[in-house]
Amino acid sequence: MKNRLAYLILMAMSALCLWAEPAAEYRKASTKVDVVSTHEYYATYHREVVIHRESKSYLASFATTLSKNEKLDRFACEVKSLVGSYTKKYKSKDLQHSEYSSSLATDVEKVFLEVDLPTYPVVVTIDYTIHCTDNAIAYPTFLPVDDYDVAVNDASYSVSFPEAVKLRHVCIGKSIEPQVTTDAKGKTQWTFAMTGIEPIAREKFAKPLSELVAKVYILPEQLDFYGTRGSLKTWEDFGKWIGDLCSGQDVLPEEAKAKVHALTDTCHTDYGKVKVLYDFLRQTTRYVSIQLGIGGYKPLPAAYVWRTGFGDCKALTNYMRALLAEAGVPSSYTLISTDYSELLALPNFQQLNHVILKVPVANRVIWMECTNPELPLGYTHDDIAGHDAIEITSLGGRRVKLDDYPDSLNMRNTEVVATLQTDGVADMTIVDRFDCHSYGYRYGWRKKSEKDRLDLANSAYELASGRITKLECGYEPYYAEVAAGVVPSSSVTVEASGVKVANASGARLFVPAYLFHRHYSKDVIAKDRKQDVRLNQGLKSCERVSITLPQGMSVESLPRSVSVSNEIGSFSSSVEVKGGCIVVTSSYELHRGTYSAEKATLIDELDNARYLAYGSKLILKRN
Amino acid sequence: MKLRVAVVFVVAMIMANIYAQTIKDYRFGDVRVKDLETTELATDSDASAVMLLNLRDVYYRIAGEDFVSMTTNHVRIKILKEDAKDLANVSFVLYNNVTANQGHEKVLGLKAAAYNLENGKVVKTKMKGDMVFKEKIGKAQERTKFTIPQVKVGTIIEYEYTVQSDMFWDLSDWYAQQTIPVSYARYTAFIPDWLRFHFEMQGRGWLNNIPAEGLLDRKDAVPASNSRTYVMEGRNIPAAKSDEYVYCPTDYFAKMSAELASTFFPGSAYKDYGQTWERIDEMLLGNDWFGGKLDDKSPYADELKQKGIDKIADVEERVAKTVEVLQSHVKWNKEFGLSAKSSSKTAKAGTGNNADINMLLINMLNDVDVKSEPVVMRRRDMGMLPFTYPSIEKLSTFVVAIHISEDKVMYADASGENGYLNAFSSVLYPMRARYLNKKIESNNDKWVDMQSVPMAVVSNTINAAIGADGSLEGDCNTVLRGQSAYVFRTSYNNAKDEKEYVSKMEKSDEVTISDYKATSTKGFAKQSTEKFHFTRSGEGTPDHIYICPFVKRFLKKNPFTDATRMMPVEFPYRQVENSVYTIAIPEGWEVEELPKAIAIATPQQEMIARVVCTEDEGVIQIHSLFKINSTFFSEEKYIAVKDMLGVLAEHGNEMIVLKKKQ
Repeated sequence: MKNRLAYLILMAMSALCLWAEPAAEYRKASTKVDVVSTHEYYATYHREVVIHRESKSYLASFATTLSKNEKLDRFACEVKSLVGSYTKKYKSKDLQHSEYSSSLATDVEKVFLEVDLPTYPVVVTIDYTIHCTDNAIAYPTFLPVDDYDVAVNDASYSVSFPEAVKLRHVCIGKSIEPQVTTDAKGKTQWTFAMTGIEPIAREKFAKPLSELVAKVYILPEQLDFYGTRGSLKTWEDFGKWIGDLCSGQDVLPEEAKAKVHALTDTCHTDYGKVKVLYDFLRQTTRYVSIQLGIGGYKPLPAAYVWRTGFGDCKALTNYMRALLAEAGVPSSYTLISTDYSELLALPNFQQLNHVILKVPVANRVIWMECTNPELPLGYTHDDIAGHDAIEITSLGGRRVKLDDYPDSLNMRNTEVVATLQTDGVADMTIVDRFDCHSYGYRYGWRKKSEKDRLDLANSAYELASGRITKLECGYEPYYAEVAAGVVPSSSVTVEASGVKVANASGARLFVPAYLFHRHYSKDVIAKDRKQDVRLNQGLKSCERVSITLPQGMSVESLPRSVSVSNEIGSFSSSVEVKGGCIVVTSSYELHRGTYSAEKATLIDELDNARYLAYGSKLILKRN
Repeated sequence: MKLRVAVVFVVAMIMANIYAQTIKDYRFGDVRVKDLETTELATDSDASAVMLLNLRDVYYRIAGEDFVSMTTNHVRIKILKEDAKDLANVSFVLYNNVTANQGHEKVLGLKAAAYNLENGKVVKTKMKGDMVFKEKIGKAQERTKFTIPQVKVGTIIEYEYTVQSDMFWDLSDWYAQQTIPVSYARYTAFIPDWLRFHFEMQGRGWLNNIPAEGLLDRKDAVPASNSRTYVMEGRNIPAAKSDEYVYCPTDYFAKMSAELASTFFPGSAYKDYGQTWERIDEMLLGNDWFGGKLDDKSPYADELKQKGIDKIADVEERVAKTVEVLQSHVKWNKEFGLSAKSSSKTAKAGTGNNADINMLLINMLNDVDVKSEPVVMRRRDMGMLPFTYPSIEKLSTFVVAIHISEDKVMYADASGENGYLNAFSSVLYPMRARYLNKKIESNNDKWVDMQSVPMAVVSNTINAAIGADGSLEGDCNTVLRGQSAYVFRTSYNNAKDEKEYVSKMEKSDEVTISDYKATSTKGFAKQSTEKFHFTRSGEGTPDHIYICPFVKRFLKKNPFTDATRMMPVEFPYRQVENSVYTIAIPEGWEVEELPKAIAIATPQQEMIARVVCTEDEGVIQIHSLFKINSTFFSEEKYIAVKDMLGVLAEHGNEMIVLKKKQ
């Protein structure tokens, strides 16, 4: 009876707490790394997570990737209901293995366990050890919080290492200092710990989770990787090692050299040579990812790319560097991150995921994306613009920063001329242009089939009720004097007839002031806001809609002008009658930056102004 | 159903090729300069590539002690645009169960090459062995991946490989139609007299059966008579494109599928593999993993008794309470299946796929004395069952038919939370599903059109008043029954919390909501209700107020914007939505205009919509009705559907205009 009562009380408490609880909570998460030598370490993990709601059921599952040098030494998982008697245990034999990858070739294997949870809340305890026997270039990272809406009660990470192994640690986000001890065998042990971490909610216009949580990288000072040795003390040293890996990979066959000369010997400028060879790269190569062994960091030889016509970012960059060198144009192999704009002071592999080519030519630098030579030559694309990078020079690695474009160049300009009939149907011409990082919004259209382009235009400009009579897609860079490089631009011109744009109701026509924003809905991001506002990119958008009044109708009511300007951006909208035309204009601007959480109201203010303007109607009445 | 057969264009392949002819032998490497010179496809100038050849040959041979099928795929593609260069990266997955005696596939004779025209000469670049990779996927699958070198715009790529399989009964589907146009496609099958397959060809008449000797010259093949040689070909097949509102786009692609009907090996007895649905019924009912479990008692028999559920007089209520008990013990693992574990195993695991859970439900209904039986089917998103032959292989899951009374049957999928009888996931509403246990003599009566089962019913009652400032403020009461209650509960529970759900509704309905209350937000329930207070801002001048009254719109935006459509439209279920608005106008104002009345329908009344607006003594009444009676519209009816939904979406913007009394 007592047990029954206790059970009921517990159930009632569980129900009461339902909305106060996080969806899941790590009761305890510990990682213990035991470094044996520069080649070998054991990483032992213990994870105890309480899952309260189904939305976090995936936390019960286990997944890791193992390279050829890593082995899962031990695995155990137990699922236990918090209320009730359900228990289930899993062992190594329950794990599934898959080498499936999107690359053409890799040498990593995914090992995973899928757990179906029958009840909530449950406690899932997972213990496992990974034994790395060779080629260790990075140690496990201390990442106490790896998901939104998850509380962390107790997270710890310890690494013990012999004197012969030199390690360093670096924090991202909140600084955590380790407790330093020495064990009986004389090994140094660093222990990092965090407790009582509140769950982080996913919010719009926020920093990514990786910037909101603390993270510690453990980095070796020396490298011993697939028979190569190097130092990781500085980015310069790191660059030397990469430079050594690239050394000798840039030899072109005679046939290739002859081709380079045939293409470039008649060019009068270095820029001309670069352009010709960039076009050649586009015409003759494609991106194929091959990541085997040291090939994860060492590019395939230029001769291989010449023979096959494919390679990954390393191989294509190395190949292009060889082609340019043969033409007498120097360039540098450059490592960069498409995720992190800023690199840490300490060299590490964790932050770098891409390679590009630095080509200094005609008093400026081209940051060449060799995996996608369809990009206009000289454009620094938005995954790398403004990011730190490591240029590989003859002296080693050199830290550089790529320029980015000013926000004002991320421009959209829309011009609409519509002739309205009394039944609410209009013929119209739309010219819509996108510049700089915005150019991708219409860039893809030109590659689509005619039918697909028409369908896209119907959907983007709400023309489905009428007929598109002309559709042209333009795409060409214009050469602005911008440090970051060339500014790409794409545009579409659409002519359509018989498009239903307004509601005819009795003697009136209700015409949406902004024909393409009729379904605009607003977000409220300031309410209960916890996190700072982050706008990664700024933009400017101008729109002008000119509507010719139908015969026999006049204006009964026009929307009021709207104008809001604040620290984050501005929006203005105005409507005026000029001759037989109603002209609606708007301008919207956002400035990139990181703003305090309280300033989220400024975004809401702008959004609300847009919502009001976009939802407003021109009301016309028969004379 | 007849309509759909016509749309899918299926043909059973039972023709004998008595007047045989030799078919053309397309040799590897036999690339024409003319094709290399082509820069554009005449029939589709936007095509990024064209498949010049799409060939599959199937034959059988003896390999050691094994009788194996040999399936050769030979593909030749012309690259016309940059985007298509990735077509040179090819992969396919084979089955290879290393721990079993049978279940092995291997690749033989893989070769690939690129052909480029350089200075008027054809330059061939062969793929080398170092460009071929293999990946193990789980215990029994292996993916072969390769990439062809020297691929540029203008290149012709070609590859060929043969899959040898000891699973001689399993001939995989062949798609003549691809995502790029296909100039020539051909399927040949040279089936020994020991085997008989059902073949089905589908897809708008793109494929034709032609008389031919096929592979009769193949020396390593087990001989076959003319009557077992099949050749299908198609020319100039357009690129296949998926569309929204289609559950399984490949249902409408040109393809060949085959299923073993019988075997008669030398020295062995003739074996028949379910050539009739009755035989398939018997096989399923005789199986341990299916029929053998139907009459079991459940592990929850005592609990059902203890709770008095077996004594509930109302059968529907008894069933609902039984499902509640089931769902309190067992959770769905989000997977579907046909074979079921025993009830005790499912109960012990606490989770299971829908087959495990539905079998448990049948056993629990046995315990409470309610008659029920499985209804087997192929999920809508996996494609339709073959039209021209019965197939046990194509069955993928089942739901439970429950006999509420002698003349009333309702259906349940107990795996789906938040559902009810006749209300569950729409992938379980195929056009054809089959009763297994029913003792009915007529074969036709064992089939049920599951799309006729669900109905989503929504009733909205809105009482509001227009303010002198032009705003609309009032209360909205919604009753959701059947499928719509399931959809509501699913959506409500998919939101992070009620706040997020309401916030989404505010955005969608363009209102500000307060005092939101809902009933039956989770669990197995017949209906749910929502109630909330709302305000919507309007526009006004000193003389006029303009406000759109439609707080609950049938649809805000027409989902169909494409000018034409290649595929039919498949709606998830039938639905009906009624709304009644009562709107008071402010003192000192009078109606100048009301939303216009409409009464529209598709030509066969598959969809109908009506809106009527009236005003009497300062109160506006609006009655609206929208009904979808049919879930399937052939592509010929697309424009009618698009136009009607377009009118309806536009009508939702209609305004009330009030003017100030003089």
